[in-house]
Amino acid sequence: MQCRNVLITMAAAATGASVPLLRAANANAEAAGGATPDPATHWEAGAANPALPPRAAGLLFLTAAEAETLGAMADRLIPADELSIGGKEAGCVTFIDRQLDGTFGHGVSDYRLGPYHRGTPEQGPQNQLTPAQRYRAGLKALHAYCQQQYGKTYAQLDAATQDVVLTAMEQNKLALGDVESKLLFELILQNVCEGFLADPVYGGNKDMASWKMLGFPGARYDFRDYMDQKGKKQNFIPVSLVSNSR
Amino acid sequence: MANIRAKADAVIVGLGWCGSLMAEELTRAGLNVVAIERGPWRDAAKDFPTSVDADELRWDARRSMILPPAIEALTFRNTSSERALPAREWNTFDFGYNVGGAGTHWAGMAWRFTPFDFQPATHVKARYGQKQLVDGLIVQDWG
Repeated sequence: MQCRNVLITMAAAATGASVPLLRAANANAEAAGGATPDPATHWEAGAANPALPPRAAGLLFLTAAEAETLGAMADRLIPADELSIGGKEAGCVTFIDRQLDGTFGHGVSDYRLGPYHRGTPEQGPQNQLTPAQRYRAGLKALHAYCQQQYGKTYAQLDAATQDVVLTAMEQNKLALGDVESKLLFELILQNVCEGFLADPVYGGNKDMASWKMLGFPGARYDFRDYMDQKGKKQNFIPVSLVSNSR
Repeated sequence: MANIRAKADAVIVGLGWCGSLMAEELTRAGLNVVAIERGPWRDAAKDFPTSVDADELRWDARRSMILPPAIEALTFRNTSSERALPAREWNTFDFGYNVGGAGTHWAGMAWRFTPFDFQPATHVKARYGQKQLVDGLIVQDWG
């Protein structure tokens, strides 16, 4: 009972504190044409600059065909089971779409000047394509491969064949034009995991499904009220940045 | 247009841990000190309020507080016979990018102490033997 009251108080305090800040930042973003501010460079005095919730509907970067392929892949990488919903239902495609449309997709933080040389694995990626370009070119080549090999799109393949294709990508055995299939596989795997586990404010992790599955308390800041309750299961209800900012 | 400022006794380039300590010492000694820093001014109330602070994608995965390779990239090679190449994407080198330098983000990972941390002498001795604790090494258990 006491615990429950504390939870409610904490939630109310977090919500109340952040509302004016969010409004100010939203106003700034709207004034700038609705573009998501780049947190690496964007700075406004007095603005909290929170992550903005994704626009509700539609795709911003991906084509419908690309989204269908990625949805099928997300469900192979994170299949629905008795523990949680699958990657597709969790919104991983929406997450990837918003990421590719933003600073991540355009490689804004990456060093992108030439000259480009092939390096050792230790020297990290030396790839001219931004993540968004890698997705676009790689999925196009993958579509052509699936059509030629199976006469179907990736999403139309049965689950076992989808796994064969993914495994070939992971082992770098698939020729996808300018895109190394292993790098594309790793990028997709990384982004699907991020979409499944990151805050719902970014478009994935529907209803905090992954956090509820893991028992992760979410975007909570302060646990001082619970520090002396050692060994006691708290059953925290996860908190999302979405609810923090409302 | 050149921006000419008043002369200072000392100019510190980079106001991280080291620069801040130097600034403290120099100003205590009565000097007029100017510090130059790159990146934005950040502070907790504005940039990391509790409603934003726990965003792992933003701070950890996308490293939004860290100097992006796009602004300054390091070149890297393992041996002198290799061609040094720029570290183009996020990598092992995390530098601060704000007033305060890495001092602003250094506590990003403060892991809970492991049993080893409390009894380093005992654990090292048990695993590697007494010979590992050479003369002059003052490692000892804490508790």
